[in-house]
This record gives sequence, C-alpha cells and structure tokens, in this order.
Amino acid sequence: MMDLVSNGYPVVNSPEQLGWLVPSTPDAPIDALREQLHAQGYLWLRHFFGREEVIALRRRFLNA
Amino acid sequence: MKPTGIPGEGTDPAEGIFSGQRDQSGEATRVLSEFVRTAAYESFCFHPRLWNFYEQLLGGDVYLHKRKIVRQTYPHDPRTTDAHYDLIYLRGGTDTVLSSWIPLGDVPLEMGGLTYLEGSDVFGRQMEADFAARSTSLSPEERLNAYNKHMSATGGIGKDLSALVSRYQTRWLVADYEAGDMVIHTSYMIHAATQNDSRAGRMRLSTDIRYQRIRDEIDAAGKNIGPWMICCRVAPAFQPISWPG
Repeated sequence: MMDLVSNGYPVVNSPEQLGWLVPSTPDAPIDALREQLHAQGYLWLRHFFGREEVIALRRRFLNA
Repeated sequence: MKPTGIPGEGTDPAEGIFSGQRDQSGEATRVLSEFVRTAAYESFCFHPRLWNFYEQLLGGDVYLHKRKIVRQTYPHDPRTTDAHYDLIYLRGGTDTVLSSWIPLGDVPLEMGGLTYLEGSDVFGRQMEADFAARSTSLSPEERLNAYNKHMSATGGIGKDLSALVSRYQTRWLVADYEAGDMVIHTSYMIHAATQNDSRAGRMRLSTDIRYQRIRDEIDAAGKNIGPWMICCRVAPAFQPISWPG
C-alpha cells in the first residue's frame, strides 16, 4: 500500500495498522446490508449511482 | 458558478486540475454555499435510488438533514479532517442518524479521502456512555455541549491517526473510491480524511449528506435553524461549529 499522510502526520503503513474497506453490493438484500452496517459501522456501496450522474454533478460544480 | 482558482486554464473542468492559485477573497466559500442550494445538488440529495435505499434501510419515512457539506480539497493541502464521530456534532437528536459520504469523481488512494477506524462504532458508543456518566451533574444545555467540557478543544478525537491505532488496538481502513460509490456510516463510527496527493494536481470533491427516520428526534443542526448555518467549507480541516443550545 502507498504511504498516506493525515494532518501532517504519516499514517503507519503496515498490514496491522492499515487495511482496505470491505466492499458491498448495493442490490444485496436490505436485511443483509443492515446487518453488515450494524457489524461494521459502515457500508462501502460500490457503484451505487451511475458514474455519469456523479460526474455530471462534478462537472456542474467545476463549471464545465 | 466557478470556484476561483480551479480549474486551471486550458484544462478539462471535469478533471478539476488545480490552477495553483487559491482563492483569497472568500469567493470560493460563497460558491460552495450557493452550490448546495442549487436544484441540481438538491435533486441529487433526493435521488430516488438514494431515497428508496434509506427508506428500506431505516424502515420508515426518511428525513434529509438540511445541513449539507460539499468539500473541495486542494492537492497537497496538509490540513485534513481530524478523527471524529458525527454524533459529537449532532448530540441534540437521535443517534440513529446515518451519514453518506459521496466522492464527486474518482478518488483513488493517492487522493486520500475518507478513512475509518475499524470496529470504532463500538468505541464511539463506549465514549458516549462515558460522557453521559460524567455529565449527570450538567444541565440539559450543558449536556448538549458536553464535548466542550470532556473532549478536546475542537471536539475531535485526534489528528495523529496512528496514535489512535495504538490506543484502540485496531487499524485504519482505506479504499480506491470511484465516481458512483457511496459510503455510509453510523453516528458513532470514527473517521478522518487523508491528504490529497494527486500527482496530476486534481481537486478532491466530495459531499456529506445525513439521513434519519422522520419520527426520530432531529438535532437543530439537521433542522438548519439559526444564523450560524454555513453549509460548506473551503478548508478541509474540520472546524468546531457553535451549535445553538
């Protein structure tokens, strides 16, 4: 993994101290997602929106 | 609506390549606060897929918090969001409020972004229980501001992320986020941001939106009352906000 910095402090880059988020599928059964949210405290919902929908908002903000 | 200083001349605006000139006039702050009031942004917050998802997840009618934040993070800016959990800033309402963090564009690891302290939902709940126990002698108003008394000056938990890893015996979790992804977290989950080190000099853009069941108690910040309401920040640093009592 690449080295990361936060607020000027390096983030210790070792498998014990830095890992990857667990991805979730947005169309998984909602009960399973609720359970996963409860267990993890978070959900990383990959491709929840269409890519173009989000890029359109970005473009609008950046005045394309 | 063009934030001063971005994007650079002759670049594709959607790329968001930073020109290198930061706005000194306050114009960028005005642009951000206007942007969250546009129909384009508002309708995104009410996106049918998003709304249906939260209705199903929360099991009831959904309330969208009025206070929404768009963050623009300059490349190599050393100021990033401190470790915190959201309930610190929303203590007047339900603890079942959920936050969405949506990257507006690809945010590969080199561009930093949201990082979670693994398993920290539990630590946040323990911390709150501890504050409650220490706050029994306080008035209701004082209790709402309990973090002023019992936490660090900014309400944050810390700037040195790896120091927290040692304290809690856990690790930070990161990701290569893509445009279209959404991350959601509970109000107890400890999170922070890492620095945007985009080699191409791209701005990191993201938005934070909060949802809860309409029947649960709503914090004043969610109802957006009071003159303190500034929906957005130019600086990525998480700054303390004085909530009404």
